[in-house]
Amino acid sequence: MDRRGFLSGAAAVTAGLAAPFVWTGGADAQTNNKYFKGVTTDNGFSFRSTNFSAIDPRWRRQMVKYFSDEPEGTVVIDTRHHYLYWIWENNTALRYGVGVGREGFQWFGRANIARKARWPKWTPPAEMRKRQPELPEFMEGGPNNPLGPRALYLHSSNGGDTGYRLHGTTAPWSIGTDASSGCIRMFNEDAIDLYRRAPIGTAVLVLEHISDRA
Amino acid sequence: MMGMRQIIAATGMVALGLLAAGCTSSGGSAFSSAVTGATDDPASGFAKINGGTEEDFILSVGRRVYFRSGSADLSDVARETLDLQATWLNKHPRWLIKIQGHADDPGNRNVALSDRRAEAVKNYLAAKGVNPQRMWIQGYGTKRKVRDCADVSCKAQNRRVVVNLRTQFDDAAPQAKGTQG
Repeated sequence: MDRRGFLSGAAAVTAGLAAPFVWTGGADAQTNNKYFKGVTTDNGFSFRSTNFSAIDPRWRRQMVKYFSDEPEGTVVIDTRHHYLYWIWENNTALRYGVGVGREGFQWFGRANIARKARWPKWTPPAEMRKRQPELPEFMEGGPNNPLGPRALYLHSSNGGDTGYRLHGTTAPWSIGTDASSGCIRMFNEDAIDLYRRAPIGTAVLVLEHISDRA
Repeated sequence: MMGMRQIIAATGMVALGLLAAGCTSSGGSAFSSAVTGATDDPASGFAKINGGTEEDFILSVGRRVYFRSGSADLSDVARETLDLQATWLNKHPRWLIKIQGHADDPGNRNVALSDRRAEAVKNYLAAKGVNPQRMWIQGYGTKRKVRDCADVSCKAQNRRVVVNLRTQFDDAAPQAKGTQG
């Protein structure tokens, strides 16, 4: 994309929102323009589309073989290798690249997708605001919100909110890295994709790594 | 000894056999994948995907939509997927479309419910311009569960409609009757 194309794209995004870039992800975004290309309109908002030609192909959504005892219809996250698998029939899975929690912020276990939201609001947890005082108390849903266009909320089997979510990102370059505070980040396009594919009730298993690999 | 051409022909026949078996398997899948290779290898047929193929439909659109307990109403999330399906199906008119309904719901009317779910999908796609002559439905009730347990993690997966791409009508299709036998 040429400079002019980018500028008009950025202007279109800016026109769609009132708030300035308050989140540090926004500042990063200014220096990581190559990760964006064009604009996507979704449910009344616009966001900068991911430029997948700037992304390592292994992080792109793809159908792979998947051998596991875990039943069909389960979402499995391999934290170490930064993959999310949505298991299908015949030993296949739809695989997405993800960003995961940095060391000390990782979470493992079983959960269910209990709730899903479009353009989710975000209330940063108190501990997180202590670490990052620049964070607001509350953020409306929108293109600057670090949860991105979709969030899938993980609850444990006893019904309690784990506090962890699968969600989009304002920082596509962080997919494939250990960068979050424990949430599973996806490309915005993929968060939208998984949101419509995985029904409420879907079992989620977060692993350090799948047993095929060490 | 078998020549290369015969081996390829034989392999092709095996693949067709697998494909046919796949159509009637419990998963209702029309694509098959040999159980070889390792996790993270590209799934069969998905290494390089051409537009308009079944693989393209599965990866870029998705075949399934899900329903709330006891309901055949289309949720806004289901409509999001059906809108994408309609666009794709209208762009690729060579495919016939078998709409398979499934249920795993309270009560003993699961077959009727699975029929109504499939019918709801068919009507929605037709309203979005997909020719009804290309489509037919079949309700399977609880016969083809994705996973079987009392928990919502199983029930949610089973309360679904799968939109299958076909090249021929089958016995469940009214379009086939009168033209065969």
